[in-house]
Parts: sequence; C-alpha cells; structure tokens
Amino acid sequence: MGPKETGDLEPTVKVAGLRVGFAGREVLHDLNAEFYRGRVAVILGRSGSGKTTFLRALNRINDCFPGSATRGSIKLKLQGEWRDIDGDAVPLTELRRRVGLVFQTPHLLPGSIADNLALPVKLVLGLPRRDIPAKVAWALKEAHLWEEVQDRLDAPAHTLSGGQQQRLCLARLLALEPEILLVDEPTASLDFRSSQKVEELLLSLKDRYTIIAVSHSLSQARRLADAALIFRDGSVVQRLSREDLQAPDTLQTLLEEIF
Amino acid sequence: MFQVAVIKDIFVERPGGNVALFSMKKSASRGQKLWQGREHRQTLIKGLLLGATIISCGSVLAILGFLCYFAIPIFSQGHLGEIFAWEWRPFQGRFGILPMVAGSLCLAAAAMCLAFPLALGICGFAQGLGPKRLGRPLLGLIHFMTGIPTVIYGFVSVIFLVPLVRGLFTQSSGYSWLTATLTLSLMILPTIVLVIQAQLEQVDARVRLAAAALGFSPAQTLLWVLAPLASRGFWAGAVLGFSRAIGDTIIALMVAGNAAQVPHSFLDSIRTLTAHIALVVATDSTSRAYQSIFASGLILFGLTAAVNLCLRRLQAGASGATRHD
Amino acid sequence: MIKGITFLAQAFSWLAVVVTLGAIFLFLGFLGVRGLDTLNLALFFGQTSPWEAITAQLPVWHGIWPACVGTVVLVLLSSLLAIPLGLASGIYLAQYAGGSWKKWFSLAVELLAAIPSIVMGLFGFALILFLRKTLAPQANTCLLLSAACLALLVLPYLILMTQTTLEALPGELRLVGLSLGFTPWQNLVQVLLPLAGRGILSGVILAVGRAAEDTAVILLTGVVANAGLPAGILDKYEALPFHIFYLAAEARSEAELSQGFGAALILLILTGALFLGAYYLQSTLSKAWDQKKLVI
Repeated sequence: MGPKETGDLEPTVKVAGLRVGFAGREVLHDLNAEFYRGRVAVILGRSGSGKTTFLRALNRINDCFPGSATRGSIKLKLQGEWRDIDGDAVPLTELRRRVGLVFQTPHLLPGSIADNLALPVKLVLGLPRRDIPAKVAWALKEAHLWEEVQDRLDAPAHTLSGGQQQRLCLARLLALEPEILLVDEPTASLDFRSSQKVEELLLSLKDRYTIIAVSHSLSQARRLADAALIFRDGSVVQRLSREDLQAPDTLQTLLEEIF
Repeated sequence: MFQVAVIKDIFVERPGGNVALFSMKKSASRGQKLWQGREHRQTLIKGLLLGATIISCGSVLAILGFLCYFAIPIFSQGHLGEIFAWEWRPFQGRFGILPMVAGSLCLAAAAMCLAFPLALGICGFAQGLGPKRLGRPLLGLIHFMTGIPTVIYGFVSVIFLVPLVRGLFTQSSGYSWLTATLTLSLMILPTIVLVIQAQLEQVDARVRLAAAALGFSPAQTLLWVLAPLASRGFWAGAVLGFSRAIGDTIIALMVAGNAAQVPHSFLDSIRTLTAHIALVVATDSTSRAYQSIFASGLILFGLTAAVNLCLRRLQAGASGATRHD
Repeated sequence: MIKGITFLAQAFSWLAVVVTLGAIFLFLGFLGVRGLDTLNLALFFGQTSPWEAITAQLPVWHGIWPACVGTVVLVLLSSLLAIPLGLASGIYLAQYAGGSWKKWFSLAVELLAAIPSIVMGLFGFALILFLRKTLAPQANTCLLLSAACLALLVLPYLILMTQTTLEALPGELRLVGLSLGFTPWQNLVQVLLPLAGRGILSGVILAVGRAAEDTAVILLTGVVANAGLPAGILDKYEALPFHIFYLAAEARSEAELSQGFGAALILLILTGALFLGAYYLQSTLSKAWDQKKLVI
C-alpha cells in the first residue's frame, strides 16, 4: 500500500497495537493496519492465525465470548467522525449496525425472506412499518438478489440455495446502512457459480463501503483484493498491493506461506 | 416423570458453544436518547430476570431453612437420642425413626437389585443384543412408561398385586416389602433405562463404524466396545434410580404395609421415611411426632442432595471426557 | 468363551424384555379392562345431570367431576406461578449469568430438582405451622399452598429445559442478532426464543404433566376426599390423584372400586396425552434443526 495509491483515498479504519486474548492466551499480537473506503482488503493466512478474531474485534463481537480481553486502539470513521470503538463513545448496537459482519456460513433469522430483512430494519433502524417494504426491496436489489426472489418473499428463508442465503445475509447488512463491511470467508460453503455471484456483488459494493474480507483462497484474493494482509500466528507478516498479488513469484511465496 | 439428568442427557442432542453473553455497558453518550432508553430497559430486563432467578434458587434455601427451624427443637430439647432410636411407638412415648430409615434403605436397595439388571437387559436388547427393528418400539414404550403416574402404579398394585401376594404367601397380608419392591422397581425401571441409553447413544458413531468394519456383530460391539465406554452411564443410572426409589412416597405408602419395624423377611411390612411423613401429618399427633417427621425430611433432603451432587460429579467427568479437541 | 458370554447376554436381555413387557402389559391391561367399562358420564357426575354439575348448581356425589375440576384448577394455578418464574430464570442462566454466579445458581436448581415430593409437601406444611404461630393463626392448608408447592416442584424442570434448549443453539447463531445491532433482549425475543420455542414448550408440557399427577405434595397441603368443587383458593379441594389413592385404601363397594379404575384411566389418558405432546414437540424440534443443517 504505497503512498501514491492511497493518498487520494480516505482511511476509515485505523488499528494500532491491537492485542486480543481469550482466557489468558493471546491470539492477536500488536497489530497495526489501516483500511480505506472504496477498496477491498483481503486477509489471508492459515487456520488459527487470528483472521476471524481480527475481523470480530472490529465490531466487538469478541466481547460476547467469556474471558476475552482486547487492548490497543481501534478507531473507525463513522458518519464523518473518528470514534474510538473501545469504551463507551459508541453504543454497541450502533457500532454493530455501522460495521456489518457476514459469517462464514449463512446464519438466517427465523422466518421468511422478507422477515430476515424486515426484522433488523424494524428493530435496529426503527423504521415505521410502511417504509419497510421499500427498504427490503432496495436492499435485495443492492445484493443482486431481487430478480431471484421478488415473487417469493414470503417463502421461508432456508428454502434458498446456499449462495442466495449468503447474499441474503449481505442484503440484511446493507439494509442497515453500514459503512464498513466485514466479510468472513463468504464463499467458503458455496459452489463455484454462487461464489462468482457473491464476488461480483462485493466488487460492486466497494465504491461505497470499506470492505475487509477474510479468504482462504488465493485466487479469490487475486480477483477481489486491492490490498492484502498476510496473517501468521496473530501478526501481520506481509502487506501486498494489487500488483504484488498478480506477480507470479509472489504467488510462489504465498503458496508456501499459506498452504 | 423425567428427572433432571434424564432431561439433559436425552433431550439435548447437540452440544452447543456455551457463550455467556454480556449485558450492554452503560452508555454515557449525550444526546442519544434512543440508545439511553434502550440501555435503561436492558438493565431493567436484566434485573427482572435476575430477580426471578434469585427467587427460584432462594427457594432451596427457604426449604432447608424451614426444615431446620422445625428440627431444631430436637437438638435444643435434647431429643436426638429419642429420635434416632429403633422403636416407633408413639402411644408409649417412643419416637425413633431408625426403623423407617432401615425401611427406606431396604426398599430402595431391593428395588434397585431388581430394576438395574432388568434395565441393563433392556438397554442391551435395544442396542444390539436383540433384533434392531424391535429396539425402537421398545424404547418408545419405555419412554411412555415414564409418563405413568406413580399413584396408578400404587392403585393397580393394591387391587392386583397385593391379593396375589396374600394368596401365594398365606402368612402375609399382602402389604409387604416384597410387593412394594416389585411395584417400585417397575416404576424406576424407565428412568434407569433412559439414562443408560442416553449414554450409549453418545458414544461416537465412528466407534461403532470401526467395530462393524472389523466384523463385530452388534452383540459383540455392545458387550466389548460400547459398554466399557458407557460405564459412566451405568453409574448415573444406578444413582438416579436409587434416588428416585428413596424419594418415592405413594407406592411405599400404599403397598408396603407401614409397620414401623426393621424387616426380617421379604414378607414383612415396612415403613419408609417418606410414608412416615405422610402418615404422621395425616394423624395430627404430638409435637414429638412432628419433630420426627422433620428429622425424616432432613434426612431425605440430605440423602437426595448427596446423591445428586454425586451425579453432578459423574457428569462433569463425563462431559470433560467426551469433548473433542 | 466369547460365544458363551454373548449367548448368555442375549438370553438375559430377552428375559429382561419379556419380564418387563409382561409386567407392564399386565398392569395396563388390567387397568384398561377394568377401567374401560366404567367410562361413561356417570363416572364423572354420578346421579347429577351433567349440565347442572358443570354449572355448579348441584353438587356431585359419587362422581369424579369435582376431582377433575380440582386437578385442572390446581395445575392452572401452579403453572401460573411456575412458568414465568421458570422461564425467566432459565433465560437468565443461559444468556446473562456467568462465572461463579452461574455455578451457584445451577447448583441451587439441581438441589431443588433432587428434593423428593414429600419433602416439598412437608415444606408447605411447615409453612402453615409457621404462619399459625406467627402472622396468621387462621392459616390452613389450601389450594393456594398446594399450587405454590407444586410450582416449586416443577420449577427445576422448567428452568433446566429452558436453559439447556437455549444453550444448545449453535454458538454462532446466538451471535447473529447481536452482530446486526440487536440488543441482547431483542436478540433473545426475536431470534433465540422462536428457535428454542419448541423445546421450551415441551418442557412446559412436562411440567404440567408432573403437576397433574403428583400426589405426595397435595397430600400434605390441603387435598381432601370430599370437598366438592373448589370454592376458593384458600379452601380445601379435591384432586384426581388423591381420589385414586383414597379409593385404593377406602373403597367399600364394587361401585367405588370401579370408580377408582375409571379415575385411574382418566388420569393415565391425561398424562399420556401430555407426555405424547411433549415428545412430539421434541422430535420435531430435532427434525427442524437437521433440516436447517442440510440446506446449508
């Protein structure tokens, strides 16, 4: 991430000295990173290198696990202002709305397809009932799912295919008007076709959001990433730009590194 | 009906991630009324739930407290020796409850001796010693048996079993240790079966697969592979069955005869601690007699509590052993 | 040697099954045969006409209607007390409690579950003795007391069912609502409880069944053989299990004995139906889970 690339972009996430531990065992050691709006950053690394923990630190979901301890500074630019997410400056529910997280396997809310979108919109945004259908339609269009489900919005959500469910989860996030999207191995459980659609969706969204994705697939990283961070044992060991990823010799070292 | 441990073992099939969720921290941000309102409501809700929990859990203390309160005169008036004596003849001033202690233990032990082997046999049948397609309906029937009210066991016993025993053994009135044992063991049988069964089911499917691949017959798999792995279930079943047997009132009250004596033969009439409590309350006697029932209550409380803690220890060991790394 | 042991084990297991099945079929068969004959309106209402009995215009002699009503009222009252308390406690233990508090609370719940029903009844009786000595010399055992003690009896079942069902939900699923920005309470009500609903409901049904069949608690806290319809919650009452118990000991005629069989059959049908309901709910719960896993 050289200065000439990022000079014209605004940083939205600044992580400094991040340490996360569970029950006394430190999982992330002294991490520093910056992320920018309009770019997709992909995090690569072996299983257990702390990628998911890092992602979850950004919206403080780690706090839900007993024995978790987070130290260091995470500053997010939310609604134009820099806020430190630790402490009480940002209420947790507000934070988690602005920083959306997509899990590896799609976790649906109980109910129909429409319910999955309407419920968060009603509870978190507090939209009045008459505005909800429009919001639902908007979010589904944003997620490139509208044509596929528009005539069966009342069908149970689990009747969708895996790829559609994952895009539904993304739509659910988008409906809440987040600013940062955290995506944890979004295509891990999907077949090739569905993965393609999800990747296209992420690329289409990157202009308006800061996207930080975790991926197990090097080829996915090459397709999606504007920048990549390589994690190993809870630290960032390499930072790569888009060009770096495309170069064949990087491929060699990365393969050895990750797999 | 179901006991606590049975519920946990049988009904919950999926070990979950035990995530304790924290409540929201108090927000100090100004000008965000929506969030503050929500915060206060969250705290209120948490407080209400905590209150309910305290009431529920405090009730144990209340029960123990009342029992102790009424049992204190035994110690303060120096009646300990009287209560822990071997004769119960209230009209002659003797209030010893030890015959009842003996009665409870004898009955529970005898019922366990009958029920536990039968339970093992049934579990074995369902898990490989018998034809597979008979196993499911058998377990279904056993499940159903847990729903049969105790008083019905007692009623049918009085009408049916008691005359039978009286007919077969003419020196007995029919109300005896034997009758109660037969009825009680039928009642506790399903509990033991279901606990052992749950433990056997929890054995990793891969173990069964491995045994089958090696050419073991289902019977051999059960006897030499599964049974050793499910040994905790046997203990848990025995402990739970014994606890139910000790805690039973109605069957003992209806068919055991209720004579306050230490039994010398199976045809003797016996009285359990549980039946003793019911009888004394019904006859509304002297305060010494009341003291005896509170002593009985404390003994029962202590016994079942000890048994239950034992069970917890067993289960804690079991869950630690079966967790996958 | 191995063949010998296997054969013995198989023979023994067959024997065990035959003996047990024989015993239970004899039991139920006996009950069914003697009881089915008695199932008619006279069982419930005796000589009184059904309509007048139901509207409480005339008392019912020689019928089990008052006992049935007594049981229903008793169960309703104890459910009213136990269900909110049990669900709230179960939710608290599953979602909010942590660390050593949770351990102590869980211990208390398990101790409560271990208490034999007669000791629970004794507690109720002790309560009345205490009240008589101190605050309310007129205090007497009654419907309210029985309902309260029954509520305590079934409370552990409710708490544990609720707690274990909630804790059995997959870990990440419990996080989804929170990660969207739901408050813990919203997450609980909108996401977790609908998913755990069946399990909790089956726990409620089991608790209701347990309250309906119990005899030991009510024996010490106010049930009597002849009280007619329950007049008020501070009065004595009749109940089906006690009626059966009473008839087993005190039946003086063939007619009364038959009534006992009829009552026993009714009680069995009642608890059997409740039990089947709970079992059905529980089995559909696991099916719903498996389905979800398959789609993903």
